[in-house]
Amino acid sequence: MEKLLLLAAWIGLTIGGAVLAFAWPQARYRRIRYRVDDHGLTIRRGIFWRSETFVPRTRVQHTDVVQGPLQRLFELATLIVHTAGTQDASVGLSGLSYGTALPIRDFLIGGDEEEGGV
Amino acid sequence: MSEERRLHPLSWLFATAQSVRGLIVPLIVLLLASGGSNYELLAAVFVIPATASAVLQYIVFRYQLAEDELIVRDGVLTRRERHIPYARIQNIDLVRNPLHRMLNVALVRIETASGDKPEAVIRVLSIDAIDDMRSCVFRDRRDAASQAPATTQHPRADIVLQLGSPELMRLGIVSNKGLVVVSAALGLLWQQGQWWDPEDLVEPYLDSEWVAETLSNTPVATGAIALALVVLGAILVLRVLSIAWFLVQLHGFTLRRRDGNIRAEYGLFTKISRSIPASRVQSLTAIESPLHRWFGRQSIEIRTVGGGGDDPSIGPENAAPTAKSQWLAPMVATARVPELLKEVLPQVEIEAVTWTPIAKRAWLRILRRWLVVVGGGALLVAVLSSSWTAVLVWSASGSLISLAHARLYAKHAGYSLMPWGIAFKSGWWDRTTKIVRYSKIQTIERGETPFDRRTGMASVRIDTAGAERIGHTIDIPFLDADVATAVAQRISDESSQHAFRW
Repeated sequence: MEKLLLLAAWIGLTIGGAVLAFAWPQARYRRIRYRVDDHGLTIRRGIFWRSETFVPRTRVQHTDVVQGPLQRLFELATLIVHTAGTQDASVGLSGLSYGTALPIRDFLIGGDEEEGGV
Repeated sequence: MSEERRLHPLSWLFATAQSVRGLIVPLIVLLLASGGSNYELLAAVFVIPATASAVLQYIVFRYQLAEDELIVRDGVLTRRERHIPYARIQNIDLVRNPLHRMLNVALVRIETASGDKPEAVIRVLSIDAIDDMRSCVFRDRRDAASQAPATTQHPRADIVLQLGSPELMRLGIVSNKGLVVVSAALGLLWQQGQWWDPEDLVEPYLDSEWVAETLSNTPVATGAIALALVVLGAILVLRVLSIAWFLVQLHGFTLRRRDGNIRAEYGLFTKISRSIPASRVQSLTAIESPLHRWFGRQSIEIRTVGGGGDDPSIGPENAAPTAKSQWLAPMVATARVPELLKEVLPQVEIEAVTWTPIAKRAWLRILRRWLVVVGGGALLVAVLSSSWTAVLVWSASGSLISLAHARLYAKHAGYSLMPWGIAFKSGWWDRTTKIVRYSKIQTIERGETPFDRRTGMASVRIDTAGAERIGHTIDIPFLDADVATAVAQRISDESSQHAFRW
């Protein structure tokens, strides 16, 4: 009897895991939004723990556009914005298309030219 | 003025001492005791290359006070020539331990406004050489300052804050640095244990029959009182050690305005002279514990970024961008805080701050959290004591304390959005007030946990510059959801408009 119970549990877990594996990224994708404007970059994300993070354009230290091998296959990229902060030292946005990530990066960096800064 | 200068002839001594700093105790043991273990011998082996490299460094190092810049040439294998324009030099800091003071030299750290590492660390220069450097570097700034009619050159007038020994004693009572002293002493004891066994001291007492008999014969009440007395005694000793610590570390703490900067000078054996440029201050925290309130004082810390931190042995090449938390005013009368802040951060007008409290129903959330802890504790008590009265006592007292804490916390927590930045205060027992200028805010995050959503609240988190992962954010929790959105928006707008400079 216990063997059947154990089997049922295993099957349940596997099915549950598979469903989660499909549903979770979809849910996560639906919840990610971003906005790029003159003020800076805003990213909204999170299913249960939701957050809206804003990086002012003037606080962007440098940016990276990163593509792993799988991402290259699908022409996707991850945009990483580096700030001088600590918890948000790098703000990442993955799932952008490569063609979109580059102009965003250029735009975010370009604003610093008048600053003189460092 | 423009001739090539070298380090002080004895600088190799200090460089060596710095390299073998960690091995000082075994070295002393080796010198004083005959033999010692192999560990001490190894230590001796390390000293020789350290001395050699220090001597080489002395031979190779050159600097020049040119017309508009400081030129530093060093490097044994890789030669390096660094030009530092005087205009970029923000401050020249000094560290002087007793050996430095005996020989009238100091370790010099030159910091510039941009970037996060010290531009140059010079070990060591004579005081005269440092004065020459100072007069060259700050010449233009001093000329500009002397044209302002109001400032006098009277040295006393430049003092912003001075702490005498009574203040430092109060600080010792209020803080708990005693533990630091104890752990240092324990570390030393352990080191000495290499050839002297501390167990020899304790063993006779452990085995004695007298101890065993006394322990079994004492009634519980006396035992409890004795224990309480021991604990009290320990706390007292720790506070005394804490007082001693501060009397030595912060002896003669003075905040002074010099060369257009605020400098902190302190120390009994090792004297430190450190600049606090307003632009480097990322955030400011005022701390008020009950003991502080009893004395009518506050402790003010600031977090700065840049300068390579406190470890003078790390040259600029190896310094990571460090953030350090340092004292602005270890102890200051609460009444004097506004004027002090005005001296150091002129834009911050603390008197104009009007506090907006967090959501009223926040106390329910805090209470819920604490009740979970009380519940868990009750479970533990039930398992350990199997007595219903104990569980009841624990739950009742725990719940009441949680309720009081929750209501008091919600009452005292608040934020304020000012034209120059934000302020956030929290805590009712230990009260903290944090201040960040808009120009130092890096990112703003508005967050919602599932619990937040259920109660219609949200939190706002502000990130500032730093190196460590923790301690550089200001978290404003338990705001009404729409208030959080408005606050986050306002802070975002203001931060975008205020430029960030290192």
